[in-house]
Amino acid sequence: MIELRDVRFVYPGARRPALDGVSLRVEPGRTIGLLGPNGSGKSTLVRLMNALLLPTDGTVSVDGIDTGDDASVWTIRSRVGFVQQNPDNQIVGTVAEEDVAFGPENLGVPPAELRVRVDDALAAVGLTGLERREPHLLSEGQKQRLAIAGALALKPSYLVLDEPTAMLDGAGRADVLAALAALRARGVGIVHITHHLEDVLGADRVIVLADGRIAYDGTPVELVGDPSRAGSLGIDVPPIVVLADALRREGIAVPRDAVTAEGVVESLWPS
Amino acid sequence: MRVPVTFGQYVPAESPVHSLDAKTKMGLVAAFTTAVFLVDGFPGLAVMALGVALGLRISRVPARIALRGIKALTVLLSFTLIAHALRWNPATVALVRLGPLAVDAGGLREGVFFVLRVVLLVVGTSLLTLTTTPVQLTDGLERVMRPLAALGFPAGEVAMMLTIALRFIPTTAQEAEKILVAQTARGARFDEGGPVKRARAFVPVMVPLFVNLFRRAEDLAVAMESRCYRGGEGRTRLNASAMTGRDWLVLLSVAAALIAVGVVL
Amino acid sequence: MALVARDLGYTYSAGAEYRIEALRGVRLTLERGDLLVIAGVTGSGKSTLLRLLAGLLEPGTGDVEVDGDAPRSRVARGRVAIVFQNPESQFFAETLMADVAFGPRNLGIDAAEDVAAAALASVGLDPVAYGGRSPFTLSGGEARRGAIAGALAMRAPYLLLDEPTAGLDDSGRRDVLAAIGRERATSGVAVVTHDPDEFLGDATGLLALDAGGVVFEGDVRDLIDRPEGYLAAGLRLPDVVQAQVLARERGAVIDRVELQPLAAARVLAQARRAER
Ligand SMILES: Nc1ncnc2c1ncn2[C@@H]1O[C@H](COP(=O)(O)OP(=O)(O)O)[C@@H](O)[C@H]1O
Ligand SMILES: Nc1ncnc2c1ncn2[C@@H]1O[C@H](COP(=O)(O)OP(=O)(O)O)[C@@H](O)[C@H]1O
Ligand SMILES: [Mg+2]
Ligand SMILES: [Mg+2]
Repeated sequence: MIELRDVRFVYPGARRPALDGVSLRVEPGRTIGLLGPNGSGKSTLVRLMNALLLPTDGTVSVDGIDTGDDASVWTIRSRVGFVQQNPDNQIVGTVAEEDVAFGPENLGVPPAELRVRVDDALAAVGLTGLERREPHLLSEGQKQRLAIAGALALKPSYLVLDEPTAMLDGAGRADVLAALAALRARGVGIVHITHHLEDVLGADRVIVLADGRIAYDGTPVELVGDPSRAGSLGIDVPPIVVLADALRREGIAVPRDAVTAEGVVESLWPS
Repeated sequence: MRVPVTFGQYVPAESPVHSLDAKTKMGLVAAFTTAVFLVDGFPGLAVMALGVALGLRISRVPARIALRGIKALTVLLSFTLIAHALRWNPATVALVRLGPLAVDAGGLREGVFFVLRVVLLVVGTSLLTLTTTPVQLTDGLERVMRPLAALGFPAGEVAMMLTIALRFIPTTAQEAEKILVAQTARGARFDEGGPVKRARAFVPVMVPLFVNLFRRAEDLAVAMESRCYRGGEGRTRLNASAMTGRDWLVLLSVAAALIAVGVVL
Repeated sequence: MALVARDLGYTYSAGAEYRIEALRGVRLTLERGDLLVIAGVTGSGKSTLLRLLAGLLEPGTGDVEVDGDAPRSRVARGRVAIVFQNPESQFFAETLMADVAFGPRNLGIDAAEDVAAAALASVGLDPVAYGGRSPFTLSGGEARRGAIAGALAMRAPYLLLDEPTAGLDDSGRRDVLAAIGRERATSGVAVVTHDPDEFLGDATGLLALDAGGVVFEGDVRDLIDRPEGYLAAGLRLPDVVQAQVLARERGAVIDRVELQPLAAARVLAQARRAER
């Protein structure tokens, strides 16, 4: 479990804290969607989770290890994989498999095990067969999945992703979301920052940050079921939810958890 | 799919030279360079040239490509030749005289010798870069530099730097092209005016290119730290290359032959 | 008076072994007031099409005309403005104002700064408050709008945008969409997107590409009758349209597809009641 207790974080020289009074738990096998406008503290929050940043006040611990514990920093970083927005800026290797191997190479994992880890990680994100491909010849979606594989090769218990789909097209986005769903099923705990509520409709929990504080903490279905609440948090409800809501006002019973086109139509014309 | 951006000089082919370990080829280049400098006459150069031709033949690299490197040196080589051959009012007997200017036989011979030596060096050493991928080169370099680590030289870090440079050259090239087109669309002209004006026209391309490079460097540092990078020490490698018996055999016998030619001829 | 493409095609590295036919047989007409949505997955040729329309590439086959002239001709210079993907990564000047004024100054427009100020205002950035700021310190949404202002300042009758809302948060996206909506009053606008949802409500036409070829062109509402090519191209129908398609497959009678969620809800509710 990653646990944040009453965390406050102030960047050196900043007047206001980037995070204030944040407490939350990330559990293995569960996905948290993290939303909030630009500058609300999302990136700061996830960087606290793998000891890239240390809290000004409060504590952050990973499986019971305090992130401030200098001796454990590499253990923490290998337990908490981190993926950033721009896939191009986080791929180190000159060919796919060498990039995936980068993390475990740093830990001194022996070559034979490296091979196993690399093959497993590439398979987990559906990139088997592209081992020798150079990164600049991959599509954006493939590059982002490569970055995820690079984190997975460290065998993390948690994966935190900072807007991993922001630079991808619809197809690339769908591939990355599918890869994340598969990882959740394998028991990896996921924190997924996004601007699109659609991306995290399947998450176990959605947290919305505003000005460095948790402004909402609940299920995605509860959030989309309350458009005015979502609106006040600055989050656009997906059009299909607006449609479902309008149907309800027309007196047609549509379940609250019907948040896809299929779901809505199913409730009107059951197949 | 994008068109493969080829950079460096690597010519893909299946050949006994391509399949040699990068370290072997580096060793051979070192022996070759030493031999070329040891040689002090035309017969020696001729033997070396024969050796290079044989190497090219085995490596299946077209001679045309191997000779490309010379083109860039034409001016320099012509200058070397002229500098050696032309004399001002020489006391010796000259081949040709043009007023006080004269072409001197001994000087000409010396000039030709120097030029041929440079040509041989360029073509011979290019066999390494033509048959070895940049990745293999950096890996090889790291291994070759490793003994220096004992003296405090950061061999692992230097190799990592080279790898990252290699990784980002194509990305940066793509980016530069994007920015160039974008600024062209905003009416920028890169082909008008004198050299100063032209150079100034590139400011709107270079500034964003560098800003983005710095941003990229920041992201990359975070990515590397997150993936437990802490310097070259204790790192293992997925594709550690190793010299085989064949590599040692080739290295020792060819290097010995080269040095022998250099010493004798 | 229109931006017209006929039988437009382009091949990268034509003649080489690894040539890539990025586009073929595209025809389109963009008039002032139009909002044309160009959809397609990555690599389908969308950006190539925009480059051709803007005269940044010479067509391999076919031709482009801007109000009757070739886009690369001198007279047509500045008639087509284009906003590339992540345009904020092309800022170079010390102030936002200077950056926005770069285009008009290159075109020799008098009072380039006034034009730039107007462009900033039209994307919702107060020129007084923002003009003097370094473009590198703007937030995501502000930076994107500032970069779009750089294209608007060219005062071109045609505006092409490549993925203008990608990577923005919801409020940034709303601001950009509003700016594009305003621009449309005076210009012909073509938007490349892989998420047609946000634009379809206002679009006057849809062009879908797959591997360089056109797989759908026409009114967005026609999608429901012939979605095959569009879907085969890996594109997703907007959820609101998808709901109506599914409903029809399950026997609902829907004559006219609606694009806005509220209107679509009325259509579905009506179809439901009609069955009772
Ligand atoms: N390196 C930094 N130095 C100073 N302030 C920063 C730094 N990074 C972010 N901030 C500030 O901290 C706040 C939260 O930023 P961030 O966590 O990046 O938000 P988000 O990811 O939600 O956009 C913002 O006000 C931002 O300006
Ligand atoms: N500068 C270029 N050189 C070579 N091929 C290119 C270049 N730009 C694009 N391509 C190729 O042309 C095809 C279409 O690309 P593009 O127009 O960028 O598509 P989209 O914008 O839909 O992603 C792709 O196969 C792409 O790899
Ligand atoms: Mg962020
Ligand atoms: Mg594109």
